[in-house]
Amino acid sequence: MKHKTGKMIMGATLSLAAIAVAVDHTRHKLPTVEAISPDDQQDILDQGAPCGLGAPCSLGDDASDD
Amino acid sequence: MNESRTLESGTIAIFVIAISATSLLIQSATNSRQTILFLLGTGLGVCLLHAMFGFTGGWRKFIRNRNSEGIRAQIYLLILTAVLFFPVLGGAIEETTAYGAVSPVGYSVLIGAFLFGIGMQLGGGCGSGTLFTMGQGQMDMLVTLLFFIIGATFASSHLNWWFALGDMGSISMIQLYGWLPALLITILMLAILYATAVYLDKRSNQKLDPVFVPVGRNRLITTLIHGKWPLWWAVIGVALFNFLTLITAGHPWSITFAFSLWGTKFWSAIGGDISNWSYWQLPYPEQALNGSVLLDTTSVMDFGLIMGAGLAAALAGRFAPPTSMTKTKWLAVITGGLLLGYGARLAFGCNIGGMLAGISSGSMHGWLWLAAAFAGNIAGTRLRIALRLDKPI
Repeated sequence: MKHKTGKMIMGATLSLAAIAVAVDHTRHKLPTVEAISPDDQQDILDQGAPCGLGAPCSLGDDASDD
Repeated sequence: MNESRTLESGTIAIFVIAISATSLLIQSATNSRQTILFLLGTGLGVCLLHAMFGFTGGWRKFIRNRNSEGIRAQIYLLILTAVLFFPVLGGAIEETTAYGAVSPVGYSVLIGAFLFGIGMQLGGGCGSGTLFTMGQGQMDMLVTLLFFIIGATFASSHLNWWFALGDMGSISMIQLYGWLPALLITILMLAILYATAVYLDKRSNQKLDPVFVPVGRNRLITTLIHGKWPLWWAVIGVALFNFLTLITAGHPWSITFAFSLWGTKFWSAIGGDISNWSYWQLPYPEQALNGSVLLDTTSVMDFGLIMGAGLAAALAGRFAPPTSMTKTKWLAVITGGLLLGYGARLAFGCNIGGMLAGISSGSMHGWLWLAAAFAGNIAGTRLRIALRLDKPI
């Protein structure tokens, strides 16, 4: 097997392994999502926050929690 | 030549990025302890690859030619690791809680280590050797690793049957005699092995290949980064990283538990029934199976070892060496991989988790492992000749 082919197979293997680890990790440890009440949602919209429910509003706060 | 250099630079960059990204991922997803263990695994991978410190080749050279260079380096590693481990495990250092690899002395170790020994020679690697040469990009070792995982997973499906065959219980020399007398006994036994190896080597060869090869000052940094390291550098590096693992994880460095964990997780994920695999109902295995793979210490260290070896191989310009696979070689690596995995699970670990950790923890099962695996290596070496993978002795 040639050097370049070997590299490609190794790259593919390590990529597959990384995907498998990611799948396993998310299966077992889903991120905690805090429930937002309809009132809170309205408050956020009223304040003109630049993010909705699908976007992170406070990455800095999340990071500091870790 | 220039293209080749560019490609290797690219490989180095990829591994540096991969190691950094994985460290950050583990840190954010788990905790600092797991990140440190991942980096310790990376360090072990660099040490093993740069010195090409394998157990299989050393044992084969001794069996075939009575060349004891590799065996003597391994004995130095065992002595140094024991000197570092025994005071900690014996409670001589306060505020440090760590547990040794102490397992029952029984039929499962005897048979498992013997099978593992055959697998070492057919598969072309041991626990650590398979990982670091696979990290180097050796395609045959990728196949060995795959079947290593399958063998370890299959063994874990009916492990209690083997355990039921009987044993003498766990025998810890540290508990029996105290850490200092136990250490002196261990060093004495290793010294006898060393003297025997030297005697047999001198009887067959004109002079001993030295383990302690000096490196000139002007080549120190270049050798450190690009290799090739003398064996004694790896002895010191592996012993220190193993000691740091003991302090950080609370147990010695081990490798193969992760293989059965990965295989069982995969089998379960594709719908396989593992409900009657009683091994996975034991406390730690159950916890590992039901948690993220990133929380398992052996897994993160194995990931680190593979990446560290890959980085070292790229730095040495030896990543993904050309490999030729014949039908016989396919047969050997598949059979070898299965025996490695099956044997390691039965014997409470491979050459690292079973032998190195066992002997360095004062456990008698480590000594039984060594004797049985050496007998297996003799059988495996004969099989290699029968399969025409090696010339007759």
